[in-house]
Amino acid sequence: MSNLLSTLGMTASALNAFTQVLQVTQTNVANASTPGYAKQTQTLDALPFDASKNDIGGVKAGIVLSSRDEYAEQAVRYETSLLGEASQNVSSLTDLQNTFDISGNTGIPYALNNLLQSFSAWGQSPSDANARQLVLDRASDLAAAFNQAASQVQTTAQNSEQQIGNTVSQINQLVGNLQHDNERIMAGQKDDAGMDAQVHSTLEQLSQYAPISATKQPNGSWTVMLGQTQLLVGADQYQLSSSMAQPSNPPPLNNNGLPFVVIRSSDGTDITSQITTGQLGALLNFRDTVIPSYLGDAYQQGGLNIMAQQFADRVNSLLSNGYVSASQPGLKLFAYDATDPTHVAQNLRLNPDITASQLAAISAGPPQVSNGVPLALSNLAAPQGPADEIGGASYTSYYGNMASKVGSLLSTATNDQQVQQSAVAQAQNLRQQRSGVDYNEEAITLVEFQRAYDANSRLISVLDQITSDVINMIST
Amino acid sequence: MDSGTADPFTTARLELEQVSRLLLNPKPETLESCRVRLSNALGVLEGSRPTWSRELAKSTAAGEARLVRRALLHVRRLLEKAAKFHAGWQRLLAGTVSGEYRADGSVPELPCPRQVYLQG
Repeated sequence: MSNLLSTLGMTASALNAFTQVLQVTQTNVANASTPGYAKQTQTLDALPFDASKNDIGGVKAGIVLSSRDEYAEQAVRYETSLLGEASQNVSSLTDLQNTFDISGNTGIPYALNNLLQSFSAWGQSPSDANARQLVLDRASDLAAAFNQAASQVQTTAQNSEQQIGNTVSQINQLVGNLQHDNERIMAGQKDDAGMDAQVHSTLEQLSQYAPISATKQPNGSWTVMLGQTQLLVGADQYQLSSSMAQPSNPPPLNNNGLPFVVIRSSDGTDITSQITTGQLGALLNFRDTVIPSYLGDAYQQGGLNIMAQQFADRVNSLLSNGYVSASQPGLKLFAYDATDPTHVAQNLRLNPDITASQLAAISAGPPQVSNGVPLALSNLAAPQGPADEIGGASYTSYYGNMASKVGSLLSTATNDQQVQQSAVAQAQNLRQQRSGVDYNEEAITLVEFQRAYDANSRLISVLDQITSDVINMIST
Repeated sequence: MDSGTADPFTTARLELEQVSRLLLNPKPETLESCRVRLSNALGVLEGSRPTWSRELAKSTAAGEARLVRRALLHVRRLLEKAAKFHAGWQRLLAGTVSGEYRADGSVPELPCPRQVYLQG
């Protein structure tokens, strides 16, 4: 009799289990188009079978287990974070590229070329008042071009700061949404598939902004981390903030240098270095590394300032060592505040004390040459020695290198963006593949994958070599 | 473009772009198709090696060759990402199945159900 009761018990248990499976299936159908929704599977756990102990075997309903594989979810978030970074890089660098026109028709290269041509024209007619005035006008234009370029980069920096502030607010808001979700989960909505979908959708949005990791706790709530920094634990949210700060260690070389943007955790700790990807990572890198390479910061002068200062110093040196007449030494053409090396490009101006008649054409010699100074100045277009160069190149080349660096970064970012768009799609497809698999089945598939990757990888290596050979042929 | 009349670089690039599309959804069967297409690209480039100088003298060929290189880098990164995903998954699965993590954080090999193990 006991066996019969046992069998009935088994049947009831199995029926109950299959009823729950059916409910889960209905939920799947209803939520199939919900963003972030993952298929739920009902585990059917085997009951022990041992006749001697009256264990009757069969299946029982386990807990409703989300088949969503958190590993695959994290992979999607990781790739999304890299896509956020690449997309932001494209956007920021496109803005910056607009400052560095390399066509030669506007901006610094245009003004520089005009000034060098005016030196050459002055050298041909050293006493000509119009030629002298043209030098002053062109020098003024070049100073204005430096001012404008510095000002544009400065505006780009301010836009980045604004974007960083907005991104931090967006992160805090999304984590706040998750905190409310956690409260509901802890209040009893633990196994709600709709809630699960909502949480995953929010986590995916969040990963676009910053490289977060998320872990589901035994009580169903989510812990969200940014590097080693807690953003959310249970019902407690830890807000981020952004601020501007001048570094103190090591002591700054330039006290008026562009301050850095710093991200702080809720306890005030500087966590900027932990944010390497996502939109925020890209913005921080752009604002705290790329921009200072042009405008300077506490520890560097910045390319635009270096170029402005070295060009002004070289021109001033040639002119002030020359003579207007036998007894009248030359004056400097450019003026800037030497105590503020990170604002030279922004403050460069024509020496307010100089007039066209005070331009020194006579070189000191010996022997003195009546047009020696303008000839030496026109040599800046095609340097004859290190004194006329900047960083081992002409001023035009130096500017070209600065501009091409932006172009190169933008090209890399554009490629990265294309790859990452594919990578996110790939991760999303892999996430779909991962739902509801059996361990044994999966182990066999993984062995097949390994073989396939090995075979493809060998071919890629050979193709890598061949395409390198082609590129080398083009380069040589 | 008809790959039959296209230059070798264009033909190789089209094959590689197809591989990138296949890698969006990596499965053992799609990876086999990738292998075939990568072999095709390799065959085209290797077969045309003696004519590269002549090809590269054409005005558009250098640009096309650079696009081949870029397409290959795209394929390589997608393949690496997919392989990394499955390697990580294999490790997690092995840890879950065995319930065992070694002191250095590594896990035992994932036992394959189709393999026969003999222990003495």
